Amino acid sequence: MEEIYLDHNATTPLNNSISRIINKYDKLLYGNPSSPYKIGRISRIEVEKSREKVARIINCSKDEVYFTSGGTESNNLAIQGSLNYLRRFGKINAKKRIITTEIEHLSVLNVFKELSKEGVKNYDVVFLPVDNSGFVDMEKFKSSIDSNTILISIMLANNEVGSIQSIKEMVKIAKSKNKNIIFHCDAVQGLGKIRVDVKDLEIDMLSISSHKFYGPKGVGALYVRKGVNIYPLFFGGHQEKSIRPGTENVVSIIAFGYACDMARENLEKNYKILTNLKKFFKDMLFEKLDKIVNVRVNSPEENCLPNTLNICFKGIDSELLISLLSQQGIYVSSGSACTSDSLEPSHVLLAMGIPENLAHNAIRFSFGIENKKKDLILTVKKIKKIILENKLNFSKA
Amino acid sequence: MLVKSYKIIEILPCLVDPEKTRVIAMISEDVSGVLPYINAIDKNAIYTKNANTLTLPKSERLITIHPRKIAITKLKDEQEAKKILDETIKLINETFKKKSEIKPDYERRKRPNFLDIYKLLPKTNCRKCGELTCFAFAAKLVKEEIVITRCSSIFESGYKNNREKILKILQGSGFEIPVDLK
Repeated sequence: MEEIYLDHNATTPLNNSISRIINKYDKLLYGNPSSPYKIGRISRIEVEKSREKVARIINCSKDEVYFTSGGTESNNLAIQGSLNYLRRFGKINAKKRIITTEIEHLSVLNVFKELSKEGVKNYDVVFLPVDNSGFVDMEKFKSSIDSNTILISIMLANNEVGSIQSIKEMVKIAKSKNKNIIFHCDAVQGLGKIRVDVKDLEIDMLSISSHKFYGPKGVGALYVRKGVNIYPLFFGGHQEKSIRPGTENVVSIIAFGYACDMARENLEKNYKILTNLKKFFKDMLFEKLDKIVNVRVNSPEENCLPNTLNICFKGIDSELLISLLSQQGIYVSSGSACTSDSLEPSHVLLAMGIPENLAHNAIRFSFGIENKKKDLILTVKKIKKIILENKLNFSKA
Repeated sequence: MLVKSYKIIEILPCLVDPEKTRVIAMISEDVSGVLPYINAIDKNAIYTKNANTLTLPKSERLITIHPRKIAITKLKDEQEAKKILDETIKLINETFKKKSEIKPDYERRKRPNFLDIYKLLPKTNCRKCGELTCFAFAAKLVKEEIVITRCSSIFESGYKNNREKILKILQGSGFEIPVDLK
């Protein structure tokens, strides 16, 4: 059975040439980059070359790039690390305000929730609402920043619906109110799909992850602007300037560098491919399915990731549809996450004001450059067949 | 008979306990209309009107009935899944049959958040309830492993406001409250 993968926001398949690079270097570069002899030094050189490649895609200098294990660690290190530094070095002693949004990835949202537990004495945590297209309300953003605000963390592009926030404008507003505010941006979902330029955004910290653009899993980076200080979460050796100690994941870091180069060189071309795929799929969905089910688009029309399309098939249980599609070799995901209790609807869709029952009908299609139009035609055919065969559209939910 | 058949469409490792499995079954008919009736007869059921789901906590396990599917957690194997699915379908069909005799209940009874309860407790860690901390007491309370009356401090006059708030939360979640406290 041919498999069709339409869940590239969850992760992307490893690019073939990157896979070859991993195979090539895996045995070869076994030296510890901190070792003084030849094989160690070769590893060090390759890690540093990769750092340059990462720096190039986000337009910063290589000594502003810290390798991590991925997006979650980068986000934690940025938020907790910068706050810990401020507390540790006595820059703050009273209760301070920190701001994020209701639609962040859990690796940001749950850090803020954790910090809000210290709320009474340390932090006044603000979770900004979004409109029904998934954009932060600028007026609310402006008014949330007060003289006590020390940190803001807002994602560049949302993983579930694709909305792209006006980070540049937000940084300007925040810095005009108080130039000492640290602004962090989770760009994990944006990098590789849209242009990310830290100089242009004038951002202080930015998180990225390799496996979202055809690189290996388990490696990512945090950009920390020169002059911004963070206190480590782990303690150990002197790697990554002691900010993130631990022997470097050499081969993955090299592959990450190559993935950055490929994403940078093909950005415009890939953007076009993805935009066309999305439009083709969306038009076809409405054309072929409109008669049998009510289709609602949750992703914004403009300022949206080129590959992301979040859809509600009204009244159709998304988990059922996903399972049935998966049996046919088609892989998509829902806006829901299975928790210990039951299937919880997506916090992003709920924050966008989508009713709970509709949120259970949401499916996220996220395309990749290897998807073909014929794959999408087949997908729509299969969705239609599954709905009709199982009479899923007769649900009254 | 409302539900004529079901089909197990997914057997996944249970996120809570990887040794066990979570099963999703598709049911032949839409059962959303029966859920408020089951909610009325099973006091442990957690009905969510907005999402149109009903969760039945059975010992450690959770059985969630959606309009067209049933999801069950913490199962040993497929055989156990089939047994529980059969029982659940039987419950749905029997409730459907007796619909005219039951007054439907559309209220949501959800397990209260233990942090909400903890915030209202005296936080003295007096241990009179038998627990080491008020935190542990709150955690057990929401799991119905301990009753509120075991906390003697909260029934002192100084805690009247907090006591009323806790009782309101518990009542709203369908917990049994001693009559004299209502």
